[in-house]
Amino acid sequence: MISRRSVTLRHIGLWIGIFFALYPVVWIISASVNPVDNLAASRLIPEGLTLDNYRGLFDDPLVPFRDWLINSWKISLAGAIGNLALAALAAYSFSRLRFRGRRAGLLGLLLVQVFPQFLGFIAIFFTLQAIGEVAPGFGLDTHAGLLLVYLGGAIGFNTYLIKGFMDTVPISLDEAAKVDGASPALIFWRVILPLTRPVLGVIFIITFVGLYGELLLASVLLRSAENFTLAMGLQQFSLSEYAAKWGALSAAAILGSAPIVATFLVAQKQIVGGLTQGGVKG
Amino acid sequence: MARRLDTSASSPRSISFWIVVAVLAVVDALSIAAVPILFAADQKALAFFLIGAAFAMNVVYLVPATRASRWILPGFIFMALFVIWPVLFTAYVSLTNWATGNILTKAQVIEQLEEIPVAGGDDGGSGFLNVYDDGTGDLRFLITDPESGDVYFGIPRDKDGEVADAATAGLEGLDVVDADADGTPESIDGFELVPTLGLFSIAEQLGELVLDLPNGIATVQTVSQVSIVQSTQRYVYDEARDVLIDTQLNVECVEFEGNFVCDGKEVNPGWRVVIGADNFRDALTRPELLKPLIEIFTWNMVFALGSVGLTFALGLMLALAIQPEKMKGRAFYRSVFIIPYAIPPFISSVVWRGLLNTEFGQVNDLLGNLGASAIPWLQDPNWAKAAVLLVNLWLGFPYMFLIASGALQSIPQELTEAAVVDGASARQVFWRVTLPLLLVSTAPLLIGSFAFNFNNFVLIFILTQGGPPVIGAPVPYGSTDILISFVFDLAFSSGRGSNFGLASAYTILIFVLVALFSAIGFRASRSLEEVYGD
Repeated sequence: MISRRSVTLRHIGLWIGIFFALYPVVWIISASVNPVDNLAASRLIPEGLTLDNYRGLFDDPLVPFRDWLINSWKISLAGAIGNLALAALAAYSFSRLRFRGRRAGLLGLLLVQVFPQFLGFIAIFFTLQAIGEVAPGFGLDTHAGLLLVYLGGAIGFNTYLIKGFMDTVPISLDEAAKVDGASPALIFWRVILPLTRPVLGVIFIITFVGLYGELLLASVLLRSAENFTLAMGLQQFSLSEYAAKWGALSAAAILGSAPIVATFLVAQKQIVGGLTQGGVKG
Repeated sequence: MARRLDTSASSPRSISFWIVVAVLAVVDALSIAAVPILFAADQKALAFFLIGAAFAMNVVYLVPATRASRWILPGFIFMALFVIWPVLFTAYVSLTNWATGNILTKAQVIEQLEEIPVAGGDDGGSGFLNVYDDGTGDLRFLITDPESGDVYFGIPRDKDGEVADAATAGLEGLDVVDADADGTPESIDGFELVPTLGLFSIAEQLGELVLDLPNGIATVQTVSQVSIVQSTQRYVYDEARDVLIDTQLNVECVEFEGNFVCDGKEVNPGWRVVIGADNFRDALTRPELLKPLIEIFTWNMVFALGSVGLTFALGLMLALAIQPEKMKGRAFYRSVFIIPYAIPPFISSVVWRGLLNTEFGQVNDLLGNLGASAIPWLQDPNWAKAAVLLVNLWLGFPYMFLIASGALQSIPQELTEAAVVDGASARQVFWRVTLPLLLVSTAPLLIGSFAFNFNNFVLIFILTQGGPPVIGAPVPYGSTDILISFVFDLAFSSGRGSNFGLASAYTILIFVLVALFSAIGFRASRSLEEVYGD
């Protein structure tokens, strides 16, 4: 049993932690509604409220913030769907089918994911450049090309994770379906996928967040400002005039992170479970 | 026939079978179309990859014995092209001199060099112009160079237009009519000579025209006169002996490591060529490269270890604080602590960059109110390092809080209670029982976190760009550069050009280090058991 004094001390300590955790958050929320735009004039409690910073983001022709936001969502959504599809297909065969080279395949997956994909960025740049000479729609500075690259990382850790969950679906269900004449494809669609859906949802979110925050490969492969992802756009923007446009930057930070923070808070338990298990991020 | 085609256990010619056939037909058609283009563009590796991938798809989806592969192949194709191939290709690039100035292939370099004219050139010659017309306004020029006696016949082009095919020298093979034998044909290939009087009406049009000659250009001066500028190429490549001849200095240039060298001077551009382990030797032995590498590597280790240590310490403290059952508001604390973790790190880094601004930033404002003087967070080498660690503490402590909370719950209470019964103080219980158990169960995640932070590009690239820069260094780097951000700059964004060969050599070094960390991590975790588990 701990003493009352200890309880109070613990709460004080925890509130110091909260101060630290929320310090930047409070500042950008306040700056994003502050009518005075620059960093120097930033006040914790702004004199007046305005949404101009948010509005300005969408009609500043020099800073195509809207494009960046749309690009990031488009790429991350498509990338996460593609990743999940490829990973789930591979996971199914590792979980359900017995074939020669299965163990070697699993071990191979584990070994390949030792090397983070982004480390190959120089070679990936040249590969995409080469593809672009033949199929310009998939070359450098195209979203399709970046997406292809992102799909390269699909079977790796996610396959491993999904396989683990598919293993927990009783094999008797497959067998029952097989007796009824279902093909492996049908079993995958009608039996395995529905039963692993919650887990797939979590992995989808984690993959989405990972792609949303990817900066290295995007910086290497994309060139023109209207093609930037949000991460690239904000990075460039923050190099130039952030001090003068602190309000706009804060608004962008909030719009860029709010949906993700909300998702994390709503699905806290599942996401945290997935993350601490996978160690995908952190 | 149908018996040999497997249809995934559904009946032959089911819809799924025809879908597979249709998809394969499209894949094959596209591949057949693309492969010749790839070969023509000298992308042999890509062409072979495409052939292999298309072949594999046909085999896998049509031959029954390959059941399992059909589930893995789609993902594997992408992995092969964008994960495995880049590793091999990086290794290849690391053995080359591939860098700004040595980007092209040898054939491309020779082509470029042969287009360079001799400096100065031979200007000011003039020649005679005769104009021919086929009656529709389509013109031809006949130009005579009085000095050499050469004649050229061809299609003139607009001054500003693109260079056309050069005029042919001589009139052989053309249908020439010179009835009065004055040396000026009345008709060539059906084009009639325009009489001098007729020329004045199109004088303005003529003034805009030029004729490309095999070694120069003829520009219209008057209706009957052109100026001829001859330009002879400076470099001639002798394919048989593989030497480049500089006709201006009259020397022969021989190839050395991707450049032609004339009298000890390199001709630019050069081409890319395999130079063996030179990049690695340079990186590890040349003092001006070794010193930065050691500094960057040291800071990289301090940064990654420091980040794991600090975040784990803070996360564990907070987890311990809310652990007792008496503590109220756990769900609240947990929800707040998850926020820094939920915000995408690139956004947090941008925000912290502003908060840490020396003049206007809120952090210095706060410290100023407490009586401290302004801290040059991002300008001073040591403060920049502190800033990077501080921001990474903020980014990473929630993760450690979460795993520490989980791990604390899994420690059996009997163990701590037994220690208390044996007379251990609370402090002793923590240091002797709780912490060791905690470290054992979280070790794989801590190693994972270390490996992640070792290559934490986003934080460094946004918060400091590796800066502040180290002045006067032979390779551009800064005091907070970690290996990956340093390599990125070397390859893509340094003002001193790109050095892909050297950057790839460094990348291979990072690969080796990462493999080493993973080996340690695998030992600590039990991932391997899953492979051999059944």
